[in-house]
Amino acid sequence: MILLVPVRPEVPRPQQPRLWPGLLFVLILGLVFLEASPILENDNDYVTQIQALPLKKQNPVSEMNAYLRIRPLLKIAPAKDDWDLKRVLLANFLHGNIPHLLLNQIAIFAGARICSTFLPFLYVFCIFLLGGSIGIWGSVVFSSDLSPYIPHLGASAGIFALMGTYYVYNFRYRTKYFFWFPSRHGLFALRTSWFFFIDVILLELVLSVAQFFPTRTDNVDHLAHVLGFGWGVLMALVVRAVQRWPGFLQTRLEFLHWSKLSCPASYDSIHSPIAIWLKCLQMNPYNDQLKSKLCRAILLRCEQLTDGELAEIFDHFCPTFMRLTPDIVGICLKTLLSKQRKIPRKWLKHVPYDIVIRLARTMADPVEDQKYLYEFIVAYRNLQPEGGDYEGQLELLMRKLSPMVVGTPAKSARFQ
Amino acid sequence: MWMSSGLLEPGSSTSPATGIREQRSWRGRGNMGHYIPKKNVKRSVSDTLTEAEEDHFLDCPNADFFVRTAAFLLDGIFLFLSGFGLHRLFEAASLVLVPTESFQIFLGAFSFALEASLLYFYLWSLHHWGASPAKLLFGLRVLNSLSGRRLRFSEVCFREFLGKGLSLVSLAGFFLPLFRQDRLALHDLISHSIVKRVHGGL
Repeated sequence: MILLVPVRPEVPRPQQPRLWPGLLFVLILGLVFLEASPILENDNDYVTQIQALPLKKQNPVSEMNAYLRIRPLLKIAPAKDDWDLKRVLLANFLHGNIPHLLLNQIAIFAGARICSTFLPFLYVFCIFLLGGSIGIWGSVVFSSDLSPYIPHLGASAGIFALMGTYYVYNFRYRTKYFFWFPSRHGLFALRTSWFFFIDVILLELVLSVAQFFPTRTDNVDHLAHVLGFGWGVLMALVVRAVQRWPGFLQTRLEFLHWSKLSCPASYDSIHSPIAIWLKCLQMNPYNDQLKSKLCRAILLRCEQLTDGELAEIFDHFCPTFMRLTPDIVGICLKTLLSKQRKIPRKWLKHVPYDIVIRLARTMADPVEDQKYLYEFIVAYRNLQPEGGDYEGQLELLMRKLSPMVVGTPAKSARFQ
Repeated sequence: MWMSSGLLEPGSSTSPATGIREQRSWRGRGNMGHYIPKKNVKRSVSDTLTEAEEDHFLDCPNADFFVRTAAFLLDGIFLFLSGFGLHRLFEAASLVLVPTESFQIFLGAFSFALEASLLYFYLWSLHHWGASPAKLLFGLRVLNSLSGRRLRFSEVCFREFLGKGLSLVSLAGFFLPLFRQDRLALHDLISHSIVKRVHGGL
């Protein structure tokens, strides 16, 4: 996760997460580290000293454990045979050394910041604290260590709890990632479900199994990560269920608007929902779930929708959405043309040429629908200015397609 | 001549599958000439659209050094994370499962095969889509600079292994796009490929 840092969900600028939740967490971790530094130093010195001691040959393990039982760090951090609730809670804020602290500070800055797009800060803090504590407690109780007096500490269980929460809230949408490239190209959007699934589920879940064996692969507490992640997912599902958060709403602003809606006096089962979805899309133009719902509305209610509604719906079909989901937009266009409806002119005029070809490709099958493909290309051609960039390419394409397409209409295209 | 000038000569390109292509300029706007379809060559609508798409890509601007570097680094990160993840998974599996020697060898071989599959997927995506995963995210396409088509698999391997190997050895090969007008790197010049920026990225 350090190589690809999730910066924020892909949302409009006014709804982007603020810096202060992440900074506050970073500050807290830093202050606690400074406060606990003397104990950490004493503990390091103590462990170094006891490692140099000659042990009795009869039972060296129990003798070592006797020494480790009184190590300084166990006053503030839990271990398998020596823990209590207070130390489990405190362990979320402790770190063993500066690299450990810095890595977790980067991660918690990202985690707290991205969760604050959906939840208030208090919820975020509670999820971090509870999820982290459950992760650390589970790791203390269930993992196999070489000694029962090895302390478990770190914020990573709580960080994974935040990741689990974010995973639930932004599962169907995209996340902006930063990969340390010093330009605007260093920031790119990727579907949340892809990367989080690989990073968290596959790696951490399997690596946590290895933690049940003393000869583990590394000193990282994978079990705490998985338990923390699971708790974060569970908390997010419960909170969303209590809030009755619909799956097609992404941000808190959309949800707050949605939750305050009241049934209009003149409610129409077809036009009223579309008006509400369009209003939510105006708040968050990145919401592809809403766009997919509107596409389904076009497929089902094509004849009942007005030209104005169609124009407004198509205005929200941005190039990224059309590149990611050309099939559904292509089916919408086919449906419109088959029902003798008009393609919104303003939208069609500004569609990039490569997307026109992708959309046309979705209409190549079955053969009976190819006439709509040709009609679509003709419509696009007619809207392009004379002598424009693509005039020659379009003319050539139409000449190539004309003898091939079954039932090529010679009529001019329909558009608004 | 084309290596020194950085510009390709105007000319026509032919493709046996689709017929004789018309005379076109490198900048490719307008003046498409006459299209003469080859006889007894079956073309589908999809083939025609694919050809139109590749024609359009040729007219797109060449990708600059910075976006190419960003895509290269991001591909490296994807490959590293996938390979590292697989390696760690098998390391954990070797602890969990019965660690007999033959099983360890089997796990090692399986791990190697999966990692090789990752590399194969990277090469295949360059051939099939004309771009690696990171290049797709940034809206880049790698095309044959002479025919305008996507690279064949052998051309991809040549470009990625020999071409980039020479660029790496010479070091300056990777930085050529900073100085050339056509923004071609050494591995592009050797393999007759070009990287186009077809859209602004997803």
